[in-house]
Amino acid sequence: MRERLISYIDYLFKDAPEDARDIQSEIKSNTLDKYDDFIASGKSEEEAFNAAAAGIGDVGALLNEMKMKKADPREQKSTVMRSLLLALSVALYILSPIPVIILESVNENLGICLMFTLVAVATALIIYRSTAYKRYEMKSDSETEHMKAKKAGEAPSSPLQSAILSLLWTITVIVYLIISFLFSSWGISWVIFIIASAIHHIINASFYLWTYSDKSKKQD
Amino acid sequence: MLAADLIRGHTDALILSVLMQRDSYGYDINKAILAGSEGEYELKEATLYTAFKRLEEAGAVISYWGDENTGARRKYYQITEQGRALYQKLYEEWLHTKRIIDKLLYKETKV
Repeated sequence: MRERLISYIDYLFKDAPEDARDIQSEIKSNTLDKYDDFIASGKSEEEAFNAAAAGIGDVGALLNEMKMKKADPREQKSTVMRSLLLALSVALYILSPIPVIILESVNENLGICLMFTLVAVATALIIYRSTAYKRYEMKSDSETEHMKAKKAGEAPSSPLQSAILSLLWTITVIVYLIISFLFSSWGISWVIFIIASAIHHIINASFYLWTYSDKSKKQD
Repeated sequence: MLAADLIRGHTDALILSVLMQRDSYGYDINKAILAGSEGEYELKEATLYTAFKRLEEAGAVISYWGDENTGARRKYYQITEQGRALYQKLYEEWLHTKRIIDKLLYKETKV
């Protein structure tokens, strides 16, 4: 029974972070002391096990509190980083035609090459941003309530959001066709889809921020 | 019926009051609380350690490993000057709160 109590406590701490080992061994030695006292006072092994195990309480809440304290600054940092990356890539998309305009009289091909380079860098940044974020998300296997609430806000849930997004893409196609036919600028006008994609992400992000701040206000 | 929820809010004060007497470790503190309440109240291990962490971060207690010859090593907790001040503050807050609740509830029963 004593061994069962030890493995029960190890089980409670199986997902615990490294720095919870001290607490684990403290709780273990206290609970075993308690178990021994119960045995000494004449309880049966079964009774002593149940009473000692019941005295442990909610280890999950204790570990969650530890995890949250640790996760918070890292999460804030990664959120800032992700916003910066997105802003930077959108800026690159918007600035990408500038080399074409400036270098038009000098060397048109060079300008176009520079533009594609800028677009490529911006696209690479966006891809890096989303994969780096996924890595972080997979790391936090056990979520706290706080994180769950955040995740729920990320799904494109509101009907208004879907409506705006589909409107965005329809308008993008129309503008693309009109501009391309009017100025016969098929070589460059496709960039509008990349811009639309960036706007798509911005809309998602602002909806997420909006619903999340709304929720946390309600919680307060 | 014991309102454990009402007592849980005073976990820090209960632990500090034991540490005012002597350095002690988790199970010993809990035994002192159980004995002091004449068997009516006892902290859960998890509650105890959440409180230890909180008190240690606040600088109210410091901890050190004991050097028992037998069995598992125990972590002892010692109250600091800051901890004594915190205990005094919590104790006075409790007296104040108790006075208010007593007054309010007494009035209720008179009506």
